[in-house]
Amino acid sequence: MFDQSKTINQKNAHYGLKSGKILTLDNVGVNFKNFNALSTIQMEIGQGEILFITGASGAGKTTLLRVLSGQLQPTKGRVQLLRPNAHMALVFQDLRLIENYSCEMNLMMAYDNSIYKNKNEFVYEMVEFANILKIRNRLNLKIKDANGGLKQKIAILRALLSRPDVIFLDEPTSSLDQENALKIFELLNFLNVKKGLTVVWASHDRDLIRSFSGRIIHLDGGRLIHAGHACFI
Amino acid sequence: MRAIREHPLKGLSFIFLCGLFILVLLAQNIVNDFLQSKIANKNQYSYFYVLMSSNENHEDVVRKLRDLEEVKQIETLNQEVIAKEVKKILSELDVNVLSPVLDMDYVGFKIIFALKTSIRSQQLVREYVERLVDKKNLILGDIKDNISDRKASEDFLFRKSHFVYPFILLSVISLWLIFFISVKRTLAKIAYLVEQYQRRRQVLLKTLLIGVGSWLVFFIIVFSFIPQVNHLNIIGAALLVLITFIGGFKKDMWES
Repeated sequence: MFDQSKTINQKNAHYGLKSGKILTLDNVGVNFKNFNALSTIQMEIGQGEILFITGASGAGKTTLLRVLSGQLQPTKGRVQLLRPNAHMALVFQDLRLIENYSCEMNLMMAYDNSIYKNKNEFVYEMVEFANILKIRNRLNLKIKDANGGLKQKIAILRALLSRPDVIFLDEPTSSLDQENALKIFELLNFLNVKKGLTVVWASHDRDLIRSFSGRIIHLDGGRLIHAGHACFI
Repeated sequence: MRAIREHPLKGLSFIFLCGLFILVLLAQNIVNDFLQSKIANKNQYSYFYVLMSSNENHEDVVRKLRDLEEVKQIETLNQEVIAKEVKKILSELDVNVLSPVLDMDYVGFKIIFALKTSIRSQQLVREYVERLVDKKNLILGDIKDNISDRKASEDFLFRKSHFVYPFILLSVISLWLIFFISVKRTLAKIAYLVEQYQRRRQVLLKTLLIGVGSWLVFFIIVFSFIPQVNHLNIIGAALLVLITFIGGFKKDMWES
C-alpha cells in the first residue's frame, strides 16, 4: 500500500510529464447523489504519454477515466481538452462488444473511411495487430463463443484500429495472464513510440503496472494521493 | 443495412411489419366497407328468389332487372341452393310436387333490393319479373324483409363489426412497436459504437431521421395516390412513429 506520508502535493501530479499537454483537469470533482466519487483532482496529461491510474476498487479510477474521455461531466471543476480534434478511444471494463457479431465484425466497427484510404488498408492493419496478439485464426469466432481473454484483446484492437490520439483503457487485462498483458502493453508502447499514441491505463493490479514503464497516479477514495513513475511503486 | 444483414430475421420481419402497418392504415375503408356490405347483405336488404326455366332468356331478364334503380344486386344461385329453395318455397306454398318437377332445369337468382325501397316498389319489381317470364316457367319466392327478421345474434355481430378494424390496427401496431423497439435497441448499440470508434457524431439521430424521412416520403407518395384515406389515421400513425423514433434515446445506449 502507499504510505500516506508519501502523499504529494497535487501540483506535483504532472511528474514525468512530456512536453505538450493534451488534457488538463482543474479541481475536478464528481458527486453521485450523496457519494463523492472524485474530489478536487488536478492533473495534466501530456501528448504521447503513458499514464497509469491505480487504486483499489471504488477508488474512482473508472470515474476519472470517464471524466478524462468526456463521457462524464464533472460536478465541479474544469476539464480542458487542449487538442479539440483529438480522437479518443475507450476500452470499457464491460468491453461493449456485440455478442452476435464475429470478432472481425466487431473490429470492423472501427473502420472509418475518413482515416483509412480504403478497406484493404484497414484489413491489413487489423491482420497485423491480430498477428501481434496471436488471434488471427480466431477472428471468425463469434463474441458469444469467445473466452474472456479474446474478448479483451478484440476490445483493445477495436480501439486501436480507430487510430486514436488518446486511448483510455479500463482494467484492460483483467482476464489476461501476465504474458498476454505484457503483449498488450508492448503493442501500446510500440504505437506510443511510433505514432505518439497517448495511453491512459486504469488498473488495480500494481504488480502488473510495476513491470511497465510510464507515469503513475494513485487514487484512494476519489482523491489523487500519489504521482510518480510506475517502476518506483 | 448492416444491422439487417446481421439480423436477417428480425430485420426482414420489421420491414414486413412496416409494410403491413401501412397496408392496414390504408385499408380502413376497404375493411369497413367489406364488413358492412357482408352484414348489410345479410341483415338490411330485402330480397326475393327467382327460379325460371333455363329455356327462358334469363340473361336478358337479369339485364333488365339490373337497370332498375330499386335493384341493388342480383346473385346467381348454384344448383344446391336452388334445390334447397325450391323445396322451401314449395313447402311454404304447401304444394305437393312429384320428383320430376324438382329435377327441372332451373336457373335461380337472388334479387336484392336497394335500401329504403318501398314495399310497393318491391311488389312492382316482382310483378315486372312475372311479365318478363312466362308464368308456367317461373317460381317466385316471397319478399324477405330482413330488418324485421334480423336475429339478436346478428345484431350483436353487426355491433361487433365496428371493433374489427380497430382490433386489427391495434394488433399490427403492437407487433410493429415490439419489433421497432428491438430493432432500435440494436441500432442504438451499433450507433453508439460507431460514434465511439469512428469520427462521427449523432449517428443514431441521423439514422433515425433518415428512417423518419423515408417513412414520411413513402407515406406522402402512397397516400397521394389513394383519394379515400382516413387522415386521422395517418396523423396518428405519424405521431406514433415520431414518438417511438425520438423517445428513449438515452435508455437504449450502452451507458444506461
